[in-house]
Amino acid sequence: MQEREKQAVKLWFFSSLVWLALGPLIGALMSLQFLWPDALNFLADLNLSYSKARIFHTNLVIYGWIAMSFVAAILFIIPKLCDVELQHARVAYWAGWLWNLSVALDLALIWAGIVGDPLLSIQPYEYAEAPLLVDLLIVIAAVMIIFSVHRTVLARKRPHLYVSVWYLLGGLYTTAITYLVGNFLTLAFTGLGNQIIHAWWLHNAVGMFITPLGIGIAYYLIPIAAQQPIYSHRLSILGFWTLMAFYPGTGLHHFLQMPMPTWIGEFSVISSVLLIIPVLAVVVNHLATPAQNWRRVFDSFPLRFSVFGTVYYLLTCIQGTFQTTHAVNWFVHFTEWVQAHAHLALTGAFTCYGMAALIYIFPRVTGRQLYSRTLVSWVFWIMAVVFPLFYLAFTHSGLVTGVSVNLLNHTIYETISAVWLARFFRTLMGAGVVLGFLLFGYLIVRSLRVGPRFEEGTNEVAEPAPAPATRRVTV
Amino acid sequence: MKRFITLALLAVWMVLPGWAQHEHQPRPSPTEAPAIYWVLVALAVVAIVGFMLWTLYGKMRPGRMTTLSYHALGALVIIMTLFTLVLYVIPAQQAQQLPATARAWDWKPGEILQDPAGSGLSGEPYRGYLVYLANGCTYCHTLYLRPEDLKTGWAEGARPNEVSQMGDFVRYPFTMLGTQRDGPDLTVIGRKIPDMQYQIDHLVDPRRFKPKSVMPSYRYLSERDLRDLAAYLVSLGNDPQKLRAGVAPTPKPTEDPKIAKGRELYRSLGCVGCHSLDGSPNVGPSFKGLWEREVEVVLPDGTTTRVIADGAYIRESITQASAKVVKGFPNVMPSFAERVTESDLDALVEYIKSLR
Ligand code: HEC
Ligand code: HEC
Ligand code: HEM
Repeated sequence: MQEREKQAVKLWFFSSLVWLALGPLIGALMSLQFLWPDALNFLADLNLSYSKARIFHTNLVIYGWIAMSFVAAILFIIPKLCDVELQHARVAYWAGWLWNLSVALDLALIWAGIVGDPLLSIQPYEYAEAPLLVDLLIVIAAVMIIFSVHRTVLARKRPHLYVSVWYLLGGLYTTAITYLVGNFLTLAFTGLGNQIIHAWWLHNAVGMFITPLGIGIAYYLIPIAAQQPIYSHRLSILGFWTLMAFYPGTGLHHFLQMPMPTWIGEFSVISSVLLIIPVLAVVVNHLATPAQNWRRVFDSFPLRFSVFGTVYYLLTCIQGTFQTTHAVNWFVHFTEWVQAHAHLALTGAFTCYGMAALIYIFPRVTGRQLYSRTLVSWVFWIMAVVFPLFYLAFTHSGLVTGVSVNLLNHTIYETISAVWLARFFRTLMGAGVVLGFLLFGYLIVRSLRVGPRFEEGTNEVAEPAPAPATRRVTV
Repeated sequence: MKRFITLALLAVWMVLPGWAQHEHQPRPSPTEAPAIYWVLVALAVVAIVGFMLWTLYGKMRPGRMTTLSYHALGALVIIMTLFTLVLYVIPAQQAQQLPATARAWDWKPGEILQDPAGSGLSGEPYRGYLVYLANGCTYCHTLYLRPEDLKTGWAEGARPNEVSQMGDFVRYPFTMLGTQRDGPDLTVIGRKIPDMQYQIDHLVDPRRFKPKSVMPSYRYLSERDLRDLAAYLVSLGNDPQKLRAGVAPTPKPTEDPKIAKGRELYRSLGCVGCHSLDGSPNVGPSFKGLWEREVEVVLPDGTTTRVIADGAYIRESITQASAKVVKGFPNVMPSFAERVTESDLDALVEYIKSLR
């Protein structure tokens, strides 16, 4: 790898870590609003409130952590698969600074809460709250990245395109379209029309942006870390094209019960149920590939994390197709059940993919191994044990709300005390997950200084130093 | 064989939820899909099934892809994305062109609303909506009522004729229907609590009125932002024409000063947050027609009795709310024993008496 390629990857890599430390921490802090609301009154002195902190939280984890770690992985993976160096690495590098600037500016403007300015006010679209000024910067940065990546694919030395390239390049383009729709096309609609376009954006932010990029990364990591060829080429084609066919239409399942033309709502429900096809195609491929060589899961942390990510992905999507039907949706909608689902996808599946990618990339761009097996295992077990508990507490809180309001006809105000305990566990377990992220950041930053030298072919994580062999004294 | 079983299972997975669809289908269709939609759906189904069969059974000849075919497939990715976008744009166009309902929210930039409670406050609802946006109220509150909400606890005090329709939203510059309800729906909050001063006080310190509330304090908002936001809240669920004309139940000039004081306390102590004046239940029962009505109450030991709502009962309800809990309502009313004087109690009783 050229030095300037490494520089670009490193910038996106380390920025994503900063946001990973910050975003979830804000989430844990703001969850206190539901336990001891007066404890967060101090936020008002800072011109802040729970609801603004929530925007910080979602924007940081999506644009700060997920997007930046995925781009770091893309800048690393695409040249490898195309067998050329990254084209225009400088452009990709400066795009990284621009992206960081946009995320920081986004936070500053949300905090300022300017009212009624066309460029500087928050926008009313979930996950696209960034004011127009920030959107413009993000679009420029995204165009720079797409430019660099597409030029790399065009300059490739290997004629055949592996499925990851399809997902990553296609995903970058669909990300661009989705972002433009969510932030700019919405401006052309008023009234409920605005909400319908908003819905298109809302699910494609996860379906056409995070999902294809994350899956593309996993498609690269799993075979290479498991040292096995991909299980089925046919399935990978099926998965890719059915994803592209079914995902973009699902958006309105976020607002299934708003007044709208029924046919388009049904269209979104049917698309959502059909999504089980691409999901199963991907999941089978991801799990059957390492099945020939399961022992690698013990040695290879990138493999372990990405396989776990896939398991969470499967669970998310089973839950998704289930809750998208009217029969279930009316019961869980508006409750924290939905937020639990969102965390299963983003904190469970896609953060695992992101971490797997970072662990895989780190030695290859810095020349050092991660220094401590114990610490990586800790992070892994937090993701494998504490995170599911966090998810369950979240779901529990949603179900209690559902029962209390839908079945017992209690008002929301009365329900507040009924869900206190579930929300308490949510905060507790959430704090555990945040701790895992902080450990992960610490591990990587410390490995920069103390990690042993890495050679291609050795493990990403340093083996524990062999205990000094006890001399056997022969008489 | 294995492939057939998989396909069959998949088919079952997809058909099963379809059966359950109609039972909870929230509303009848307000518009029809254009005919071209059904043609496209039929074509898409054929294409998808054909494609799946091809990937599962077809012959694959890797290495036959030319640069041109790669570009064609790349373009196909983008076309597929844009195709559904077009499908969404059609109903979006239909939705924004529907005629407005009579009660549709309709406040233009710069238009001023006078507090219907007669406090002399005024604010700009349109700008208030932007304040609502800038402070993220939408992450806890929704702005639409479903038919289900009337049968469940989601919308206390909402009436069947208030269920949202598409035409209610056409005058909004953009919509924030919301996906989460950590607090009550606000579609008709202005009809339930038409009082700007209360709304401002509640925004500044929600737990002053609702001790268990988890709503954050918005005391950092400027005076103007608070007034506009309160004006927006009051504009919700009220006919804009009537509000402009001033439906304010302006105090009668000859009013007993005790009643006037009671009305003032009703607001400043926050009774307005839980008790309406128009007969619809909120968190607590409405005060309208309460005086000397027979009320069924639950005693602390769990037995129910009937009492007449006279002065003594009302005083006890205020100072010792959990001594007799009205049947069908939760025991959440805070005790005001430390906050009211004897003459305050008198005034409140007189006020309630005046609300026949
Ligand atoms: C953490 C979630 C949360 C946020 C954010 C939030 N609220 Fe609330 N809100 C609640 C809860 C819970 C209640 C019910 C208890 C109460 O009345 O305080 C409520 C009640 C209300 C009520 C009804 C008051 C009454 O007495 O019935 C209004 C009006 C309201 N909120 C407006 C707002 C506005 C405006 C904002 C944004 C500036 C906002 N809320 C932000 C949770 C929230
Ligand atoms: C947090 C919401 C809340 C607030 C604030 C509140 N109440 Fe109540 N109130 C209730 C509920 C719920 C009930 C019914 C259950 C009960 O009797 O405790 C009730 C019952 C009553 C009753 C008996 C009504 C009947 O139909 O028999 C009276 C009288 C009353 N409240 C007066 C007041 C007055 C006066 C204030 C203001 C000083 C006030 N309340 C403030 C919630 C509230
Ligand atoms: C088969 C796949 C999936 C289906 C069918 C599905 C379905 C749904 C549905 C129906 C909702 C809305 C529920 C409601 O509000 O009542 C929802 C919410 C959500 N989903 Fe998914 N989902 C799927 C996969 C994913 C994935 C992969 C991600 C993340 C990358 C994701 C992220 C989210 C998020 C963030 C929300 C919450 C949105 C909000 O804040 O309101 N989902 N999903």
